[in-house]
Amino acid sequence: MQRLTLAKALDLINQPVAEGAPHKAIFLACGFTPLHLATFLKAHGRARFPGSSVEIESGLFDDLAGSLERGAAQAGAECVALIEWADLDARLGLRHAGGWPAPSLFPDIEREVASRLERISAALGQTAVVAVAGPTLPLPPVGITGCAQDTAFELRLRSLVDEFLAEVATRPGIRVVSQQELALVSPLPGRLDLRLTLAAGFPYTLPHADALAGLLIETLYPGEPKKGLITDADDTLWLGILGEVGVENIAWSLEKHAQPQGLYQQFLGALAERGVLTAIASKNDAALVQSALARNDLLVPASAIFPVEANWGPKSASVGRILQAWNIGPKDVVFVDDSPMELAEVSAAYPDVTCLRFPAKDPQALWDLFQQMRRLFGRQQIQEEDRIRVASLRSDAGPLPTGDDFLERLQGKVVIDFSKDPANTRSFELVNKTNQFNLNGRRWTQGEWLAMLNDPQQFVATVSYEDKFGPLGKIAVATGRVKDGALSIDTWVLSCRAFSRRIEHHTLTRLIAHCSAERVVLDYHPNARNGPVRDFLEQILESPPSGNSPVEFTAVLYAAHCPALPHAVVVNEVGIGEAVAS
Amino acid sequence: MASVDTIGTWDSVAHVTLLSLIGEEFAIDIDFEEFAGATSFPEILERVRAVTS
Repeated sequence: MQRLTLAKALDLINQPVAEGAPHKAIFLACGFTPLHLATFLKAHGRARFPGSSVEIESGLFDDLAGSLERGAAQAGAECVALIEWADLDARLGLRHAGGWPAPSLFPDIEREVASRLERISAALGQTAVVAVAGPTLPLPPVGITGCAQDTAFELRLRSLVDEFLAEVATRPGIRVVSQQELALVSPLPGRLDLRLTLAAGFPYTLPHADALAGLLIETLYPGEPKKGLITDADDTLWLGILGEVGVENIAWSLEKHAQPQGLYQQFLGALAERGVLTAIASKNDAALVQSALARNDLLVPASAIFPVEANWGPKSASVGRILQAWNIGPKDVVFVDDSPMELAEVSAAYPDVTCLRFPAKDPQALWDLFQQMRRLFGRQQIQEEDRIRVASLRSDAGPLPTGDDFLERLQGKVVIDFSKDPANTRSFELVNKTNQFNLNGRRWTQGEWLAMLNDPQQFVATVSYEDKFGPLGKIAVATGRVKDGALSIDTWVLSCRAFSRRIEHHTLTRLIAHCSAERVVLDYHPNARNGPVRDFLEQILESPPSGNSPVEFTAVLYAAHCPALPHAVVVNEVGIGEAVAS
Repeated sequence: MASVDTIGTWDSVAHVTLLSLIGEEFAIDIDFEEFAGATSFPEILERVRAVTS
């Protein structure tokens, strides 16, 4: 996370923005004067989205819940909600004159805190996407014991807040800032600016405001998670050089003084379970590596590792073959090796691969490695499609033959679902990470996506596929609207795992039929990666699309160029609403 | 000379921001009560010199 001084933050904010640049609106709900927090939020927002304008709107002083309720009305805006102790009971703040919280007031304060949390919880229920933080400031010294000892009253207050945060963290769109991470970047003693609290109603020191703003922006707009991890084997996945000590003597246990490798294997197993692709790139004898992976005490499932590149050639060549097998780009991959030379060799060949050193001789650094990997692979939800991704990759034998006979023998079934469920984040994930069959490369924030789901004039078609080789899960999404006999599609993505099955043809054919559309209007924008969309359009138009959005053609023209559709199609119309007439 | 009377955008928020910037730049603790009456460049400069001397 980038750290900013106030001067640097103001510099960032004052950089000019081009006319028509993308715009981010963030609603800040807090009970204190926003002051430097608003400045740092805007600056971190500008740093996160270079070239975009960022506006921070804030609510009413001393009314957090009321501000949240007002913020809920801002369609399409993301929200930040900061809860400090003074917001839960003014007697826990420092700008009140209601008397220091004496023990006789403790029961009333607990009731007030519980009541305020309920109101905030209800207000959060009406908002789209919210990053929630707090309390970040220490409780005032209200306990009757010495400072070294917590009182039951203080513990109950923190418990009320913890229960509240644990509950709201389960709601779609609500993200809670990590107190642990905040403690790392902004230690507790350096957070409160009592002088500024009393002078201007702003309680944070500059470093704390900066750190908190940075984490809030990171929470509100998390980066795209990496998709794959390529690991070295000797002295990384296991302790020892396999070719020297043999299969039985490589180790990953506490007894064999190899617990770092054991922890690393367990970490990889957990990543694999949630769908992170895992592969090995090792300078080794292939048969020996297979024997090592067949050991029944391995802590990462061998079935989760695919492919295994064990050979004596350059590791960059192994990495290249792994990228091809996964069909993902270098920027989506992390490579871990204990050898600085191997890391440099791979990095020189693939500068976009994130290269991390496995700290073979420094267990303390292992903690930092795990934290870094959590950051790189962090995501909001685990999808069923992620779990089946490795299995489907193993069963893929490269691009499918495309003959009609072969496709018919697949016994394929395409399911088109028009339901709009905010809790189903797979569609949102697909539109934001698919590059090749992507109509225009548009990326959505979660707030924009939720606002679109709430628009009855917009349809969302989520497409799933399965055949005799197994399910691929949800692999395509199209959004748009129907007007005056025209089917307008403004977002359309298809996972590259589902290529060569004519799913795009099935999708468009069914959408045209459902809308009784006479024309199709596609918001197509060519870019460096969406060649498959160009090829699809060229098949229909009989010439390359001009590249000037939109691309239009009649339903009749499409039907004349649409190949045979080999699969069964099931349509779930629940939620189809006004958007698509059947 | 810059002052609240000559710069239209110099309001209370800008004043606190300016003082915070000065505190950050010169690594000094700003007593906001003491600087509250410093509403021009010369007045602020005088108080900063007093704190840093």
